[in-house]
Amino acid sequence: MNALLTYAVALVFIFAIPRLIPGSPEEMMASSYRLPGEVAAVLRARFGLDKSLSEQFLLYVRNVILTFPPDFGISYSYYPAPVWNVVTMYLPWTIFLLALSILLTAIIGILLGILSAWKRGTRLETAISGISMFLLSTPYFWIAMILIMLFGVYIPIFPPAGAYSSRVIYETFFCLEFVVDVLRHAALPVLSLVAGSFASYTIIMRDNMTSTMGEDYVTTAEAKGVETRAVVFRHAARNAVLPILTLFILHIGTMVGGAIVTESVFSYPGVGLLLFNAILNQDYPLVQGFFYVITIMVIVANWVADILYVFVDPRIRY
Amino acid sequence: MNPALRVTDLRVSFFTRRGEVKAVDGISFEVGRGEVVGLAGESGCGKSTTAYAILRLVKPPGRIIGGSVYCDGAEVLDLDERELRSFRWKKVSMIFQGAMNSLNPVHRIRDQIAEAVTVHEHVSRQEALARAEEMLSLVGISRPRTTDYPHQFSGGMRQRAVIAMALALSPTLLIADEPTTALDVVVERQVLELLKDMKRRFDLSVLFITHDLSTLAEFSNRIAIMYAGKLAETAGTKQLFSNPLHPYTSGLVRSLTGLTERGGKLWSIPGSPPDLAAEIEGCKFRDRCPVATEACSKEAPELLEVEQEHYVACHSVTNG
Amino acid sequence: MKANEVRDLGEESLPIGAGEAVREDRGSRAWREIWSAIRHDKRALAGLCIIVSFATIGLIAPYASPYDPFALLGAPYQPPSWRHILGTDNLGRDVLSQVIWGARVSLFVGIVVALVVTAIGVTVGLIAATSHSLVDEVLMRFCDILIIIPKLPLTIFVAAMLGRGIWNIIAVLAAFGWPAMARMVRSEALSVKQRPYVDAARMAGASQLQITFLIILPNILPLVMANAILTIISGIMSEASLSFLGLGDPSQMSWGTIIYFAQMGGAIYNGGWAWVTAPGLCIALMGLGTNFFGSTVNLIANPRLRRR
Repeated sequence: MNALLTYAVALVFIFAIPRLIPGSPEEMMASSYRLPGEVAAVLRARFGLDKSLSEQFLLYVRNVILTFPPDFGISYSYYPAPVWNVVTMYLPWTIFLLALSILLTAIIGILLGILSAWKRGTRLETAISGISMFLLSTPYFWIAMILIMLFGVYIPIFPPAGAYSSRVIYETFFCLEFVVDVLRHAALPVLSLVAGSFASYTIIMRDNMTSTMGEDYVTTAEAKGVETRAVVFRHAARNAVLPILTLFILHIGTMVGGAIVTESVFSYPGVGLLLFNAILNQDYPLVQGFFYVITIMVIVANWVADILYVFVDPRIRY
Repeated sequence: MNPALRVTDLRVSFFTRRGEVKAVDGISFEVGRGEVVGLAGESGCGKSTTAYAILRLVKPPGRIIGGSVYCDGAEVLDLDERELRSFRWKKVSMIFQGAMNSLNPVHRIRDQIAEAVTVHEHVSRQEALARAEEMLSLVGISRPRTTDYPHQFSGGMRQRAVIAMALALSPTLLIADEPTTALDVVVERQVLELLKDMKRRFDLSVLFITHDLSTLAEFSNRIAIMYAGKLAETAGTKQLFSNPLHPYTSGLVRSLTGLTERGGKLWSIPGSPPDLAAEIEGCKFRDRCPVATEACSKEAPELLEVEQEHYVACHSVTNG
Repeated sequence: MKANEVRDLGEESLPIGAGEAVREDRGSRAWREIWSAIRHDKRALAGLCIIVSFATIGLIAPYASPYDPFALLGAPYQPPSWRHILGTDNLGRDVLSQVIWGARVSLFVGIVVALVVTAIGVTVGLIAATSHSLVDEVLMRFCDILIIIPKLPLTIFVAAMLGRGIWNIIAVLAAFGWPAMARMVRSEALSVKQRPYVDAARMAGASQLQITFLIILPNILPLVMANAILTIISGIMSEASLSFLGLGDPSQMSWGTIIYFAQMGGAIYNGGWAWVTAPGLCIALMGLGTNFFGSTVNLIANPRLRRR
């Protein structure tokens, strides 16, 4: 219910924002292609910008919600390609990168959190905490650049840019060499994303674990003769991980935003980079399309997490 | 006679910033086979710490610094990790204070009991679950409810489940740490009856820890009174109530029976327990004791047998 | 008490009982407690030192900086040397000077954003907490929308539209930063509202305005301050991100713009490792400092968190 309301308001918001900004796209396009003034007027009509605002809104709503795939019109900068096509061309790369990063971040972050709570007071824990705090305070793109410097230039293990080697032609789409190549290219971006984000999971998990480990049922498990590792994971961690789900949702939101920076640094052909260029080119339909897709992803993720919560915590049943 | 448990000169201290807190300062007692021994005293006197020490569950900054815990042919304090883990629950199991929290909220009741079985014995999951259900039905929890989660059980049911879990491996000794404190009177009665029943059925030895002497009156064979980390008096239950020798014990007994006298005032022992971090010369009870003498400030009294099976640690009593 | 006496919102105008309640909780005592707790906590002290150091560097930048950061001094991509402690950039400008001036600009942005966010956030939060539930609902929904739409793309979008310029950046960051503060203020204010001394004050005749400003506000102030400090670093980081993407103000040398120039100038490929490392390290240190200080103050100011 909540999700629907948010969706509705977001829809309006997305419609409103491009139109609030000064400047008109058809003029920009006309001037950048050095077209005569009449063409600008034609473009204006073509883009439907000569209609009244409420007419535009109704058309927007109709095209976006009632048709599938949602029709955002034609992209200005990729004219004459429809927005949806442009988006779907670049979306898979971003999803690949983000999915991999989010999963790895969660896993590594949670494990490190459990570890630092378990080995509390040891040098290992201090090291983990120290590194976490430091990474948390560092701007993500800087981490990315340092990684490129270290592993891309000085010790060249991973390629510093692109999603795949553009100069090689592969036989089939998913042959082994291609997969390896893609993974090699994804290594640095994913590494930088993980490095920049795992710290929040670690710190929260550690705090949760610390309070969970003091609970009576953990002592009982120990008294039952359960071995320490099982106590930590099956009993303590299983309970401590519940609030992390909320963090996971928030994280997806920030990651989606972070994709822009990542793809920019690594010249990765995903929607982030595309969005950025769209903004610079004042390509309103494209921008709208992106925001729509992004917001949908976040809302869906929220909704999924709410449902997952029910399965993960038996105390919550509707 | 081979006792179920023999504790000799057990010492447990907590090393805090304020100094060493002697929670358990050299206590010795025995629990015979099939015997119920009550360990009573005020909050903070060290009874729970004793229980934890028997299972070696004392956590930092606490540490067992001396003594011996002998159970069923093994010196518990000398066991290595693996031996300790197999000793726990199989020889000695425990019901913790506030049993509701002893159950893991995200595991099913049945699974938690089955876990106790699978950790110690090589049985199939099927069999472990079957045994778990058996135990649960013994305590009055029907089969369909065994797959519930703890939050779906009432307080009394959870307590019963915890008891089932504790007895799943038919231990030699059951330690019950304040099993009825957090319950209302009706449920308390049910739990006590259940414990009596289980004791009979499994021929258990029980170490019953509580601050409530009246519960011990009906359930235990012997009672040990603890004060500020030391034992003040131990005796058979009837003896203790009819002839309490230590001033602390008589104070406790008096504050109990005072409730049944018509028109009588409620009596309580004046003062409050001492700070266990402070070094106190002599008997730790002397500040609240009505019969304290010079000797009491100089030397701590030893636990000596005054009558048949009746031990007291008090100068006034032993020196006449 | 005459009608015109109530105009004055000072303590004296409050009915007698309420004044006591207010005084007791306004607690200048609480402030002193907080200060002494800070002094004794190593982390908070370290954090405070870092923040103060950077602030000082920023303030005395014109004097501390060895060269003019925009001056073309010589050979590009010089490695660190005694003349140029952090080396030079691709145009031969001294990196150390850039970093020193960067402290000034970045901190300026961070602090101003924090101030604006706090001002708006506290106002909206207080209004939401003390108003009719409909007003509260509407305000909170609005905040939720701003929070759920991924912040970075939105800020990029608006920043791109507004054009480059330091004040534009500040405006954008503040505009998208206040909802989080408002939410926090609202929930804190609500919990203060439940406390018995607020009821006592109301029964003694205090007006809503008096309660808000004389009771609720002072009680949420420590928490607000802790969060304001954390907003500083988030402002600095956001500005750095925007600058990095090219939306910053190229006429100002903030830490973010330095990294931007480094990226544009191919520092990574040309041996300009100090150029890349230094500004990022500064941001990280500043972040550590504010985290240490801010989260400790948070722990102290919020007794709920203190129960460990």
